Amino acid sequence: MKSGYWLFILTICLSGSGIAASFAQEYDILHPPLGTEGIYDPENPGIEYLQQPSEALSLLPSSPTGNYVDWVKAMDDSLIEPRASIYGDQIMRAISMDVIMQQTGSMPYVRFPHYDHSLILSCTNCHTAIFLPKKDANPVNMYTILKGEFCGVCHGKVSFPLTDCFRCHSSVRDKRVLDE
Amino acid sequence: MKYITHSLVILLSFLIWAGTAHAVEKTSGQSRLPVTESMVNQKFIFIGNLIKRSKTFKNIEAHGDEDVFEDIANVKALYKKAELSVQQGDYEVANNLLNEIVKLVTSITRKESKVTNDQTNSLRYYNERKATIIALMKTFDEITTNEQTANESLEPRRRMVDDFLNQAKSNITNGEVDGAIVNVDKAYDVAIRITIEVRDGITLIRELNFETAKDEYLYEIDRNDSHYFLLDITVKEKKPSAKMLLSIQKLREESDGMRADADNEAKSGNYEAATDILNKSTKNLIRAIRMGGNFIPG
Repeated sequence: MKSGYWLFILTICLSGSGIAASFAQEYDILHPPLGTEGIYDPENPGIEYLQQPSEALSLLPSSPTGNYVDWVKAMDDSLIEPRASIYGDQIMRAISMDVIMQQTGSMPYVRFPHYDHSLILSCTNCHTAIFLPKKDANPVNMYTILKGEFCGVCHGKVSFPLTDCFRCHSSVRDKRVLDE
Repeated sequence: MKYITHSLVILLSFLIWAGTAHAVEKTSGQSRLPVTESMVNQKFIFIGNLIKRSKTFKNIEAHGDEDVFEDIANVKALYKKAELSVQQGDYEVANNLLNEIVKLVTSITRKESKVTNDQTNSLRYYNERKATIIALMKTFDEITTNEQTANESLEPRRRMVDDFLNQAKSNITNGEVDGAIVNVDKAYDVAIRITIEVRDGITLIRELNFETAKDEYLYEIDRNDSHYFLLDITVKEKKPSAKMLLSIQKLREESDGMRADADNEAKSGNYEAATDILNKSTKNLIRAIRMGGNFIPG
């Protein structure tokens, strides 16, 4: 009788956690339901047939800003595999080349990872329309970025926002450490 | 005790049922919208706008060839039938007819716009790719010359890039845009491969060296400007309290004053003094940004 009782309680707990999960999904604060985020029309009868953001995004690694998803980690963990082309007939050639920018005032240096970018972008997306592939040819600074140039073409619009400072300012200032 | 246990059993059974029902409702989902009177009426109006008032459809009517005219006549006939079905309350039939119209209009639009769009997009693609390749190869040549990293395996492939680019250029001259795309893609692929070979795994460092005091001052101006920007964004995003906003405003005004002093020093040619004052102004802004709820070092 006693073991039956505990089995029953366990069943209840599992069911309860299911309800809690459904509730969390329905009222997800990070990924608000469609129609409450000011983009979709909540009156549109078709809205309930669309996938809720929480259903897809809450399964991916989290990030403190933007749409709260760390897309690079999601790719690293093979949780998402972006296609190289619409028909999947091309391959991405990623280059592992970091650029450390030291003109950062009091902030940590900026580490620009070519690898993370070239996994999802073609070289042509940035070179030469946004960046010249040449040393010291691109006067990048926060002022120009905030105006929507250089990194600001994407970051703050479709990529993580500019207030997530330490995602870019991620390199220690001691050059000796960098050289090691 | 017995009653409590029974009550608990009933309550918990309900929770199980509710949880299961909710889960089933969540996962079952219908594949398409139910056809209702309001939905069909709404759709009827939208599609009416599409084929009577939209600029796209007017363009198609103005520039279409004979095939397209036949399709346009079909679209209009289908719309009349849909109208009749709506009037008769036969919403299922009307919905199907309206869906047919959307498919037909989509195919006409694609047929009509394919030629011009393809050409414009291909040329743009060709030009952008070509610019990328030329810039990458210019840097590649500098790297291999300066760092003496050229080797027997790289040189023939470097020449291949130029060969493919030349073929692409002659394709363009002969009006063969598709051929040009194929060749520029080949050039791009080889260019990327050899660039990766000389640069993969490397870290480049952009150092902070100022040739003159004026250069440093100009750098500080940018830094000061960007902190003003950052402060505005922080206040907008973090929405600090009214009390905090007052303190932020005070710091901002102090920074404004220092910035004006720095400008005056710079006008007199005292760039070192101007840089020092600007530094203080920026430090003030950093404090304001932190007050706004965004921690940055400095």
